[in-house]
Amino acid sequence: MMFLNILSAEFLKLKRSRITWITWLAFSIMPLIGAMFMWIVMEPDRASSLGLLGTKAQIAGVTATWSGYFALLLQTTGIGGMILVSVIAAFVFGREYSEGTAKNLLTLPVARSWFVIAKYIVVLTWFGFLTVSLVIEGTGIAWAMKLPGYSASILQSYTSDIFLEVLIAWLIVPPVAWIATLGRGYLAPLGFTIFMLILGNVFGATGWGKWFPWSIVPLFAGVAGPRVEVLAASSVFVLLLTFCAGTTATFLQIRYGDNTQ
Amino acid sequence: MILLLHKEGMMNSETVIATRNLIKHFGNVEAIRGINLNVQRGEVYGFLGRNGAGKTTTIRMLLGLIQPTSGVVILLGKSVRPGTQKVFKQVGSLVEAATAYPNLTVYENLYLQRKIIGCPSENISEILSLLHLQKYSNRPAGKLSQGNKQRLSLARALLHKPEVLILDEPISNLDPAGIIEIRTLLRELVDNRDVTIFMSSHILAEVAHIADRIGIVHEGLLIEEVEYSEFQQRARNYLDLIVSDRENAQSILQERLNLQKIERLNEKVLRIFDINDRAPEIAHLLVNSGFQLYEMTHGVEDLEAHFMELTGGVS
Repeated sequence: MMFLNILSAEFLKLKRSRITWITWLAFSIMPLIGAMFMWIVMEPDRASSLGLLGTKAQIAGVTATWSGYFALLLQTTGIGGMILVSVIAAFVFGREYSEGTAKNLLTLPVARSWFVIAKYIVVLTWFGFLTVSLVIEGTGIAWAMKLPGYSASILQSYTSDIFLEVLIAWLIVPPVAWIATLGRGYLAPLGFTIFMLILGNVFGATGWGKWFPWSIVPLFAGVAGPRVEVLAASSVFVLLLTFCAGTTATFLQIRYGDNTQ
Repeated sequence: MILLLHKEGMMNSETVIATRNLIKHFGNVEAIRGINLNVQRGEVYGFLGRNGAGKTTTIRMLLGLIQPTSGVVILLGKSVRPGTQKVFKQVGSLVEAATAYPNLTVYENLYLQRKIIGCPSENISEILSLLHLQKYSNRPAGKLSQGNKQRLSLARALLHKPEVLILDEPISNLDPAGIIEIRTLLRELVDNRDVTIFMSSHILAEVAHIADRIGIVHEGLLIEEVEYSEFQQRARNYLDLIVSDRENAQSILQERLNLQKIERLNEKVLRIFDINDRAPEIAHLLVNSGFQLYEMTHGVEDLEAHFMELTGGVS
């Protein structure tokens, strides 16, 4: 009961934050960008008049089909989603320090670990909601554009891949949370995320990507080379290890770390 | 440890807050160098110190926000460390600057706290009324004045009707009327609800108005702990003189009347301590020696003067 109260308090905090609208807006733009690419491919004459953008769309090998559109969505939500979920986590954890409310939370008569778990759930729920919204919007756009090649199995397959991608991105949230509690604010975790994304690109290109958590989503999305459709056991292990290590570090930091903010 | 302290008479059943050899180092900085506190049930303990003396660090250790390098903190008979939970059901706190979720209304900020602690919902309206925050109830906390933010933080600390209040600068940011109001409220809590208050402040006059006992912390050490009534009894009398040729006047008073405790307060004033009934004698000597005596004022040393003397005057 107490945990549910903490959880509902965390949801209320998120509901009243501008970040909810900003992240929703950011995620809503992705299907529209995909739609623009589809339109360029469907209208090659107009595409050529658009110069580089049209050329890039052709070079990327994008096909104006349900499958092509959702493959594009999978790619954009892969990278965009990783950034977005890290921004949400940095905000949810870092705000307590930036707004000076951590000292209030940490002197309440409840286990500090509950706050961490509640915040994880809030991040996952919000990220999940954004993804549902994105899939609905993407499906609507594909219908409206009358893209060829619809089949329920294609929609189902890509939708489940997008949700799996979201889950993978969420599994690498705990290190971001740890950096937010260690750095006591938003900036450190955002800096950390950017650095890890760069490293993720580097490792993705070297072939060690399946061992590096921040390369696994780009590999799965097909952004860092040929798409890895089924995660290797080593990748699953690395992701779970990252989740557990990050969570333990966050628990320890929030439990024993000095709060001098 | 707690049993040992009881056995050695360093704690009793009325001890609400106790620390023993509390030490905190931040790297090479010795912030707290061994503080022993004893706060008894139903008293207001004023914790005074200059900026950087160690007040907030001590309060953070009392609340389990930072880990002592060594030593113990005992709150309501329970040892406190980072992560301690249950004892905080009976403790309300305010640490340093008043803080709240800026996008949440005053009501919602209190509602969150109430949900997490699990106290009755009517406590919110009661505390809003007590701190005169009803009319701001639906205003986002980020749009409150500093004074009202401070009231909101106090409301948060008082919401669950705690037995102990640990307050760091509770009256900072309040206007004079607000200071009197909060002072009265805190005194009422002690007198009528048997609440114990440990409060730090840099507004010495306010501490003097409310505290039963005063601890002065300086450079990480508790250099004095005294009952305020005892302090008042032992406060020294003094005579402030505004006189021409101050240096020579001081010499003649020292030589002829053997007055040794004389301080030059500023460019004009000589302050003579422990004068007893010698004011007429002093005036007579100065006038007869050809000095112009412009003003003589009798006074009793206040907390501020005592504090400045203990902590080394104006830096």
